[in-house]
Amino acid sequence: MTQIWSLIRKDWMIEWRLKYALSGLLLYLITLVFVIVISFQQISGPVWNVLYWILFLFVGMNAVLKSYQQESGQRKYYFQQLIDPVTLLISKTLYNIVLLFLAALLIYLLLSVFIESPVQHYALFLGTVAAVSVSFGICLTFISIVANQAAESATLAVIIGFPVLLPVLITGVRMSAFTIGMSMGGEIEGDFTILFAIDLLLLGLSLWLFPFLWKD
Amino acid sequence: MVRHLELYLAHLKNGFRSFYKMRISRVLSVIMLVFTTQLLWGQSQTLDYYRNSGKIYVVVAVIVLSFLGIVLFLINLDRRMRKMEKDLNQK
Amino acid sequence: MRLEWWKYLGIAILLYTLLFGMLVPLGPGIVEASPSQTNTGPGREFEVWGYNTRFSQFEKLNVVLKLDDNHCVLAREYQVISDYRLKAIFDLPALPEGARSSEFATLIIYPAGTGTAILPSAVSMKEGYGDSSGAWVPESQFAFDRNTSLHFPYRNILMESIRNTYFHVALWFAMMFILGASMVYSIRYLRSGLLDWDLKANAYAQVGILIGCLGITTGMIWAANTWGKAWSWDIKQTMAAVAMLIYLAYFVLRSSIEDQEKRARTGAAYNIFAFATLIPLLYVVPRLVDSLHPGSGGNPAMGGEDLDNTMRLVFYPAIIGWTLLGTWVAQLTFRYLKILYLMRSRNLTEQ
Repeated sequence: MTQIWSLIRKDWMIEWRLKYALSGLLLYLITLVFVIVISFQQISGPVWNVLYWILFLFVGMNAVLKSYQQESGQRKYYFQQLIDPVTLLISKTLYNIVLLFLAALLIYLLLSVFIESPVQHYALFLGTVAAVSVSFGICLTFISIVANQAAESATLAVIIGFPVLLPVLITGVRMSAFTIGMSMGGEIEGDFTILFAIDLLLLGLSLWLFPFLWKD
Repeated sequence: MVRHLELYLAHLKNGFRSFYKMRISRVLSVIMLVFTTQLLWGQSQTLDYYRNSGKIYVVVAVIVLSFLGIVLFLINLDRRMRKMEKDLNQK
Repeated sequence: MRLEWWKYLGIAILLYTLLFGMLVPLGPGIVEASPSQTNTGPGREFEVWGYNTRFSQFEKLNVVLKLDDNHCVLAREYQVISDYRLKAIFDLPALPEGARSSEFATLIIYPAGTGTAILPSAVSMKEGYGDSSGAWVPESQFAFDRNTSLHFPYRNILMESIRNTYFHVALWFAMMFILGASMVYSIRYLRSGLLDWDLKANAYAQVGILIGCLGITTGMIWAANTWGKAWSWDIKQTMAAVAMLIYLAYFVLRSSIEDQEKRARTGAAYNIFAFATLIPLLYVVPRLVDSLHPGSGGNPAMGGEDLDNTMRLVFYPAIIGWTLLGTWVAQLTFRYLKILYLMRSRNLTEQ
């Protein structure tokens, strides 16, 4: 547990010291929001919903996919001696989930500065964002590890990451449609259950598969 | 009905004469003939109506495509294997 | 000697599927009843177009409009124009108590050919004017025989293309089995580290992708002729395309890693992960969203109206047949890959 915590802190320290990563992300986000606001001018509820998740997809992929790249070369051998792979994966996943959740909140804030937000049920919306962040975090962490095995990891990560994330993204769009007052039929509880089930499945798999990828 | 069969036979004899000479294909064409007759007799007079409006061509297209896809895959595999064999013979 | 019989069994089953699936006729059906809206009252005339029906061969036809089990009405008289066409005159009684302002009635004709012809929601009835001598009778008064001979059910838009169930739908099931086998081989590879298992996983994934692509294209042909558009961004179509993308990414991943052992390890891990995401993709998400496919919005995918017992006789063997054929092709691919691998490791080929 303390190991997980210290690993997360280490990740954060690195991110904080290399300011260009975080500020680059922030700049990327602001530019995207600007482009959207300027080119759309008026945005209706359903369009806002879809735009929000597309923004989240791009920003999230950008934020997470490069996070594993630092774990290569000499430092990787050092870690291999030191840490249990399961601990490392859990700390990475947790860190990414928090990062994604913060990014999602930031996107929401930025969007609502420029456009009136159509969200009606704030608690449900927050829950949706949190649930999708968890799924994205698990998926993207694993994808970035897999892609890092290959030489062209950045391109590959996008190629293999996008289709894997799509079902989660569709569920997310559906769930937040509820929170802006659009009924898509069915119950939102069912969606939460499905996301939770997907999370469990993928988390279990990545915990099982990570040691195979970690050793050399 | 009988005319159809005659046409079918004539077609087999003229168009595929060389094909027809082989013994296996002769057996095959007899089987096909029996098969077609069965099919034609079984359906009686509603056949024309059945074919025109019943979208049976969709099913035929789907079947042809499924088998064609698998056959094309096999042809490609065959081609790759031949290349491999050539390499093996050279060295 | 190694086991070979299953290959021939697969071919035999596919031949059976082809013969049985194509030769068993469709049951009789009703294409259209006109007018499709009417008011209740005496002397309402309908013209009916049948499919695979033989109206003129029977001395007495029962032409019945049915609201529910307790409210049916028999035609006062009918006139057969041809095997596929008849006119029927109904004395429609007033709508029963508690009915909505307009009710849909099912049209039933028995005997119509090799069984009963039924058109659900054929006519919408509104309360009309004029006295009617007709009266509602319960359905139990008629002896509708639903299974007089071997035939596939008639569905209005599908018609003969219902036979695609044995090809298009069975291909999808076969794909799931083949990709599942690929995943199992990946697991075995990770467990044992023997390269053979990884080559097998690769071969099965290739064939799975092939069958998936065939599934998509055959589905497009079917859709173009029943839904009117080849690609309508239906959720299952989209998800199937995404599933193909996931597996194409598997091959991209494999080709981008040079080291044999690392490639096998990474490929196996991704393959297992991909198969796990495939399950929600193909079976959970489509049920949440409205779809043109059967089995959406919470309905069971295969059951009830869409697949009757006669169709099951062909459908289940069809799945086995396609799976066996796919396995055969995958085995061939595996043998090719294995020889290629051996030749490469001895520098016998530049491929």
